[in-house]
Amino acid sequence: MSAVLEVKHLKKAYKHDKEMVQAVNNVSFEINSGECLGLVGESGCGKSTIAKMVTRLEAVDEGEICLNDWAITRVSGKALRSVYQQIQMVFQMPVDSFNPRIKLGEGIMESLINQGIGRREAKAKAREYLEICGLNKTFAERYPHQVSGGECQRASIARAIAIKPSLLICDEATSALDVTVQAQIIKMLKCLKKDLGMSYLFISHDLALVQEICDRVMVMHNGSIVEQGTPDEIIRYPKEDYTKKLIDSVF
Amino acid sequence: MESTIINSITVRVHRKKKDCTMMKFYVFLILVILLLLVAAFAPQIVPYDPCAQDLMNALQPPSAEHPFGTDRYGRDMLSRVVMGAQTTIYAALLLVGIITVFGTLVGIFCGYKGGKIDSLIMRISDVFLAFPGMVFAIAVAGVLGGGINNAVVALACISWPKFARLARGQALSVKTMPYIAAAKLSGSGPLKIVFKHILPNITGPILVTATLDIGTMMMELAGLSFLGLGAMPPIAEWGSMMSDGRSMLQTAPWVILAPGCAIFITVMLFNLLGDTVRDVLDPKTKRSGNWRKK
Ligand SMILES: Nc1ncnc2c1ncn2[C@@H]1O[C@H](COP(=O)(O)OP(=O)(O)OP(=O)(O)O)[C@@H](O)[C@H]1O
Ligand SMILES: [Mg+2]
Repeated sequence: MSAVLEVKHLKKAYKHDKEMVQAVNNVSFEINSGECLGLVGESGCGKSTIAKMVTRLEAVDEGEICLNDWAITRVSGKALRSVYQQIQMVFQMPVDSFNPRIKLGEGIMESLINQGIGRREAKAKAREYLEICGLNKTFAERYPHQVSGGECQRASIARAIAIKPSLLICDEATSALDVTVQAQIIKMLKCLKKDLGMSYLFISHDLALVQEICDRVMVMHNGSIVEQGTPDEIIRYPKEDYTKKLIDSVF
Repeated sequence: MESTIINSITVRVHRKKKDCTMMKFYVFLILVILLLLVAAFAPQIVPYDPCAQDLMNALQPPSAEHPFGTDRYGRDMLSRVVMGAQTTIYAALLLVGIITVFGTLVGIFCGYKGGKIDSLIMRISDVFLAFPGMVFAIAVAGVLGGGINNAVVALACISWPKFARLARGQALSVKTMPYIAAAKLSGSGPLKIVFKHILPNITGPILVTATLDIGTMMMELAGLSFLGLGAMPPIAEWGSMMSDGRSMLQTAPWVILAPGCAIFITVMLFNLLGDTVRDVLDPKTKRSGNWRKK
């Protein structure tokens, strides 16, 4: 199996009061095509920072990122924009990830139009994907503040999958959804994985959910990966003390 | 039970306040539109030719024939004030339009781009802000020569940095919003991000400042004209009319009172409109969707 994403020795530090805080410290991993990699860890351990660096929304201090054998660590401009045809992300805060002055449908259409799809077709597609995510087509005409947090999250998933990326990063993508809707979304994500061979980086704090969907899990603590393996291994036979604590606190 | 009563009362108070704001907004808007109409059709509605001299009737006090009296060349003050509205309002709107558009574009560019270019342009704007504005405008207008258009250019030179700073600050805060990151992820280029995502989200405060500035700019234009650096005689302009009449304040006060009141009323009207625009755009009186704001 070839790797969709290869991350090597990724580092990122933030400055807090003249002191550098290492948010991500020497993280390496790879995601194979059609694989779902889970990323768990306590709040503030650097999960979102990894997601933002992989999508190049945050500058990389050190390390290398390869997407389908293409080094994207330093690309910019047009090249970066074509990276975004292969990689998409569902943001942690769905409501803020939609422009308050643009209707949801229009927001979903944006990436389709940027890919050169005509307006008419893009509109139809946006509605289709909203419907796939369990929102009827009237949602396309609503503004972000006119929908609930969970509905917005689903619209955000619709936006991310509409262009069929080869890698989808889900940053707490189902945290605002109730169990039934969550099950529906997970089912859909599994379908996409099977049918299109889509790969995922699935960031979550819900270990049960991770166990359900992920092929492999990484446990993160203070900016480093402390343990990785299949979900069953990690949850039943954790090696590291930190993982044990994390699992104890959840179950 | 109690809390629902309190809730419904607050809702009612809020709604009442909002209705009142909207009322005020419409009233001022209509008044301003009336003023603009008067200015636009000034040549058609003036009772006399505002430039026609009639030395026999110089310095007549207000009468039925000349409601605002006549000036020292016997020109009808009412006609001149109405014609002056056209010159003054045209110049003020032109000026505010120029500095708003230019300042906003520069500010957004700096805020979005950041880095060296941003620092450079902001230092330049600091230089403009450091000069005593009016003195600089007088110097520029002096170099360019008189004329209302040159006065507009002179004032535009000193006034754009205010809008650039405002737009830059707003752009900087909007830039960090997740929806901008989402737009980048959608593959949108910088132009699309600026004009589709940043600009619409910062127009509110800019619009308010622009409306409030119309009054200020009118005053400054009148100031330049008063000094003889604005509109050239015989064109009617409120500032130069006041300047003309200042020696006759005691003998013929109507010559200075008529344009003075016109400036006063117009400036106040635009300021009131600006204030209500701010109230209307204020999230607390906005129609819906504020429950999600933390
Ligand atoms: N823009 C920033 N500037 C400074 N520090 C930041 C910035 N973004 C994140 N951090 C810091 O980096 C660390 C990692 O943050 P990150 O958002 O990756 O956490 P997370 O694992 O996603 O947490 P959560 O589960 O709460 O979302 C935190 O300590 C945070 O304070
Ligand atoms: Mg996070």
